[in-house]
Amino acid sequence: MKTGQTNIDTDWAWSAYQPEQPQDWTQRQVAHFYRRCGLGANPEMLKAGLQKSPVELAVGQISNRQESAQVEQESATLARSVLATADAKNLPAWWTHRLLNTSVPLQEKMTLFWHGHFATGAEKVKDAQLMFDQNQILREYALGNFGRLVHEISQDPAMLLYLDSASNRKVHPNENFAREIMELFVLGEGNYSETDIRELARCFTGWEIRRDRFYFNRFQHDFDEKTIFSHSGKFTGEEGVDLVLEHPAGPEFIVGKLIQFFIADEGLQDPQLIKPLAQKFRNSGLEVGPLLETMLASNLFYSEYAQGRKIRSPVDFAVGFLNSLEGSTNLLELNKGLDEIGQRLFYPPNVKGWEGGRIWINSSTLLARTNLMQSLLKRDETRFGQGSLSEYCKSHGVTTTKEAVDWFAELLLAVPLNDHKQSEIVQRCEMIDGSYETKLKNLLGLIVSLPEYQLA
Amino acid sequence: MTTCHSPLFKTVIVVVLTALFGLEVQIEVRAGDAARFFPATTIVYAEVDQPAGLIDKAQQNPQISHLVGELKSIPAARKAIEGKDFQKFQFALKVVEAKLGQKWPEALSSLTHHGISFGVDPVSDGVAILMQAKETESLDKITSSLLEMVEQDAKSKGNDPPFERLDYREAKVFKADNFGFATWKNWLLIANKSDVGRSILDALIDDSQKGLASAENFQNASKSRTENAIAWVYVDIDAARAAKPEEKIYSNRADDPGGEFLLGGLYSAFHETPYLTGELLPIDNGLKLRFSVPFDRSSISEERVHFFGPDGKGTASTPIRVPGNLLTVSFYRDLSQMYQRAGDLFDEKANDDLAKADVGLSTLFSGRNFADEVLSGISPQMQFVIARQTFAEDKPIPSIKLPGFALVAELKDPKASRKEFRRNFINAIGFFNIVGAMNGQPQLEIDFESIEGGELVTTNMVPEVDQKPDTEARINYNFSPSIAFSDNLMIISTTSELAEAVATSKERLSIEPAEDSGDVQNTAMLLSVKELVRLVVDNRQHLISQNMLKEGHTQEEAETEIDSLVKFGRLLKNSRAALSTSETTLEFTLEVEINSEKSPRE
Amino acid sequence: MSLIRREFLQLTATGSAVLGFQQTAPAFWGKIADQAAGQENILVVVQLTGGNDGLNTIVPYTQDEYYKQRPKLAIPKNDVLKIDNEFGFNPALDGFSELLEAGLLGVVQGVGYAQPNRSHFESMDIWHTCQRKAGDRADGWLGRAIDQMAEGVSTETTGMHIGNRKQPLAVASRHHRVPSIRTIEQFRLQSQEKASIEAMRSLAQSENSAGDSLLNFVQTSTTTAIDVSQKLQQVKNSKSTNVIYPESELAGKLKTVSQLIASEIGARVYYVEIDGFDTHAFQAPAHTALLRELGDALKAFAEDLLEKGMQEQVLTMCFSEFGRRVAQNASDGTDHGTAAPMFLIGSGIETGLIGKHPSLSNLDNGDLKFHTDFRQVYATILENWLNCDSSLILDKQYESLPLFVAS
Repeated sequence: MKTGQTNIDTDWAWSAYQPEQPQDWTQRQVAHFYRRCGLGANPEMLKAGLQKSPVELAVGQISNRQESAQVEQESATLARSVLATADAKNLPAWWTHRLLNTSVPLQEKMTLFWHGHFATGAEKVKDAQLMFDQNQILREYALGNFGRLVHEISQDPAMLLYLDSASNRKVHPNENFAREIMELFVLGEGNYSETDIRELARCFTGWEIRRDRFYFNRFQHDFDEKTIFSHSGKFTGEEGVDLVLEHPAGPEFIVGKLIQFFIADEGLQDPQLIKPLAQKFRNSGLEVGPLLETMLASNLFYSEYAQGRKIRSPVDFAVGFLNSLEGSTNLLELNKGLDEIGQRLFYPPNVKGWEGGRIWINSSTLLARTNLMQSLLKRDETRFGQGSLSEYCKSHGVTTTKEAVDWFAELLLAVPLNDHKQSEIVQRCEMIDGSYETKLKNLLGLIVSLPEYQLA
Repeated sequence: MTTCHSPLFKTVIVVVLTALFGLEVQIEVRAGDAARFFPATTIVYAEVDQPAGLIDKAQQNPQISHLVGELKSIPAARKAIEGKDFQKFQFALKVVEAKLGQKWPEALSSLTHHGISFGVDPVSDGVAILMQAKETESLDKITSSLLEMVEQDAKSKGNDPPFERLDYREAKVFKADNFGFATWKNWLLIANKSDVGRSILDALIDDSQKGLASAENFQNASKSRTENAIAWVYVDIDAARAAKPEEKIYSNRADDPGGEFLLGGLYSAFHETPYLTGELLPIDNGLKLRFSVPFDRSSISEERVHFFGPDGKGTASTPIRVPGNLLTVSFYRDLSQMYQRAGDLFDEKANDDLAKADVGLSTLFSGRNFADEVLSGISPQMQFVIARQTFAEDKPIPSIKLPGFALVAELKDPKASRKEFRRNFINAIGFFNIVGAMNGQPQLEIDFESIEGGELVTTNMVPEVDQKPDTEARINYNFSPSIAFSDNLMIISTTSELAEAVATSKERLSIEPAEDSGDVQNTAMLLSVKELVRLVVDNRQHLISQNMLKEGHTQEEAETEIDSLVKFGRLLKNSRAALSTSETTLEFTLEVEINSEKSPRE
Repeated sequence: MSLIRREFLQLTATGSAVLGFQQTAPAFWGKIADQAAGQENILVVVQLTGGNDGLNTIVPYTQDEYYKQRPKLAIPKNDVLKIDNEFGFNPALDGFSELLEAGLLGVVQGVGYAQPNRSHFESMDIWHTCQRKAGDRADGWLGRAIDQMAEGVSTETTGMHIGNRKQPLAVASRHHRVPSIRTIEQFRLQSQEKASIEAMRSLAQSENSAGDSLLNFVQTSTTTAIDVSQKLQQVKNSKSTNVIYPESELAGKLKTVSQLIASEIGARVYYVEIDGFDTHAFQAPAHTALLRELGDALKAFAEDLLEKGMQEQVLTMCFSEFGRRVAQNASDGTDHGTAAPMFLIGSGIETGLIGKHPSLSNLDNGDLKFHTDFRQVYATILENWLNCDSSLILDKQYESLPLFVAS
């Protein structure tokens, strides 16, 4: 993350957005909200969102943490089946089913955020159940207390296995987990010394994973005094984690990452912007909910600094597409596609997770993105509102290719499409031989291959 | 509306529709001889003599009418019948019927009264369908009303008339962009190319006695035709091979060991055989499909002795049956011979791969050469058995229930080879345990047991330390790899249950004496659809989940689809397949039995 | 004028109409043609997985000790394809022998590292990361090289792994995505109709977007991607190469590499593997097959590059995680050993044997003693071929080797 000064007025930035005129609060803005705070919105969600104020919209998503009974039941059934295969390779499809059906999109989106933040790869952990359990922890605390989440994660079997920290002896403390908790999970680089890492590692001695469970081996724990961030004491591992959580740099690090995740890939890592939110985060005892409440209903969130200022992650790209048009498809194939464009759920590339932003885009991923969409549209299993695309359009009063371009653009694009391009798309699709369904699919295929669609 | 996507249901629905709205009129039987109208160069020719009579016969058959009744009650089919598309189709049908002044089934029946033939001619790149209607009048009426409808439709949409009307000799020709049809007297011809169309019309009008019917291969092929065949197909392999000699099937080489094991003999046959015939025959309670090619058993090439046996007399033993038997495939394959002939049978890459594999295999068998010394100790009669397994309640029961798989082979010198295989089995289990332990997998415990005439080496998944009774255990708990020896048999199985069942079964690898005809069964397969259905029921929940993930279905849709699959499966009983040779032919047969119980239940 | 540039100019004249790019074609071809003029060096790494038996690859056919230690496995003197008066290739390596005659092959002898580890995984990790077990193995040496070469241009595809296995640690990068390519089809736009591709490209043209904006960035990337894909199809379809690659897996991968290079996709590092060198028993037939696959594939690759005029741009390096013991074992095979030769193929390299063959009598516990650290080879390639600062990648400055012809 590049930090830098902006000329943005901080008070204005974090004040709640209040549209001056009712007509300023548009479907496009609700779509923006759901692109960032969820995984896209279908026409019904957009309509319902228009009836709420920006604050109501954000609060609604943050306070709603209870998945619908039906989704919970289906997801549990699928999970049983996937876990029965004991193969973590089937987990991504399980999660995408949830991402496509969830009634609490922000909670899923935050779970995705924490998955990238506390990146743990099934390639190494191998055990599907452990990966699944970790995912459930991330979900439970997705909008909850960050401190609790870090404590949970620091004793999570999948994480400790991933970081080669399944055993930690006092004669030779393993610094891996101590380093990552400071560098990647809580503080960010530059806010600790190598001594701090070594001392913290001593706190974690005796922490082991036995038979897939956390186990404290007191014979291997170093009970002597340690000194971390100039505090001295006979700290336990838990106390060590608390010391890291109390460090002043933590909230700024997390707020900065959340701004990048929710508001803009680039240009907003301004300490002036971050400070007030970090303060708030600290004051709330590291509660994520209130922090997001400010962030996701703010002037800045709805401003030109935010709209279209993010590159869609592969999940946003494909799942967002399906969600916007109530699509369903072969989820195993969908996940193969996601892998090809660089985001295989449960298999982050390394301990730093997915870097995001411009990194998502290069020749091979762009071609693969287009191909993924083409194959999605071609597939028999792909349905929209459980039917054909033309039926789906018709049920929303869209009956011509001209109307369809307008409608798709409104649903899918973060950046408005100019008239010239719209008419070019219509023209080109009219030239295609084939049924109306074929024309519509071609048209949709062109829209999601547009550079505009790559932006969120 | 919910639509179903799987091909299975499309097929089911087509069957239902054909049966329900098909033909009900009884018509006298008459063998078709339309082959004389097709060009002599026709490469694929098929005919259904009595489509009308066939369906009628089918409807009279209690089993088939039962099947149709059952199919109608399958939710997916019912949904389709009640659905929008089907209603539309019915509406269109009504319009046609009104125009014809005749019920559609009757119309169709009179159109195909004297049978349908189909041919592909590579010379003109033509495909043609020829049918002879009951009388000229009805044919003209049907074609003209259908034409009228199509043209009206085009007009209302502002399109050009789709058909150009022409005359060719005495025939009326209707030409569209990429196909056309013609009528002459009570004949209807549909073709994709003018050349083939003209040629067939000429033959018709001139009442040709030659055409394909005079081709030598065809004449020979016709001789093998069974009297009561429902449908018959002929393929001129000589011509097909000449047209595309580079096709793999004619190359006489499978090039990889798996392909050679399964199909090696077919490669021999297709390399030389002049033609192939196929026919569909009625049998008690079901149908039989038979494909046959001329084949000279006495001159089998050296490198395929592993497949057909010396003098082509290698015979597969009678398929073993065990409780819960799902599938048994019995082969005659001499693996050692095949391995030794690798140089002639496989390409360089496969040979290189074998050479690489040899290193590992020979290491396992304490340095004995795998092909020469290990494989040669195994008789060519071998069987592959799959059976459902039962799970003990005091042990973890896997959530996904897999059947057991077993390979049954006969040892030429049991005394010598038993030890070798037993040791290797134990080594493999030890290796598995070491690797498993590193990956946190449960361990296998080995047990030895004596049985009559032999011994059992079984394994058992050791439950984890704090394992509670579990009915949703991991997939690993399906496996209790075992090896059994009984007299001269060796059974390698993924479950101890199956190993024991085969080892103690009364049935031995027996070879039924060759029939008088000299037919030799090279490969035989037995499939119990009943057990297959049970397996599906065992895994219902998991299959529903898979369906949801794979098809993107909702839970409800997925349940409907899996339950329909079960229901459909219950309509069938057993299936048998065999690859056999006689002095002069190589044949593949497939029989399917229909469940005759009134209301098949689990 | 290079062959490749000539080909482009011809294409511009005649090919653009065929492609249906009448309006956009001249600019597009022009751009790539310019890139071709300033070619950048490319490294292709071939990993021989399992531990290649160096002694039966480069055979010391005059040394009695060799024949004494390997009564059954030794290659008879008369079968050896002679390199000089002391050493010769395994007869299956006629591909290498021809490359040597053409002045395209260098053999670096006795390569290894101190305190060798004989575990496949551990030793491979050492070759990949240049770190011992306790060290930081988050990325690999090529991953670090990629990060260095593409610093600032974070989105270029600088490295590629060809194959369907797990990506080797060597190319793991902290800041770049190194794609694993299974087939070249991944670079083909599935929408085959020319019209749709044309539409996509035309609609992706940047307009009304600030030069540094995300939108502008995506627009430019999209047109580039489509151009690469088109060019790749062009390369694939053109019958410009008469070289027939063998049917082997390795040859298939190298063919893909050649096509990717010719498509100017811009990658500097390609990584391929060939597995099966762990020959503990009945080594001879298996090792022969592997060496034949290796030699024939690399020969075809070199010929193909030559024909495409790209031979000066590409260096190929072959390595294995270790060699094998000097003495054969009881199952007519060999066990895990230490030092072994590495192979370099390209037009600018010093041909023939480089460095001394390790002594067969002065052994370390039955194993050959290495004299050249593999990181010296890496360092030389990094410095002289990829223009990287090797000390940043390998943690210190290694003495470079005379691998390249002084220019």
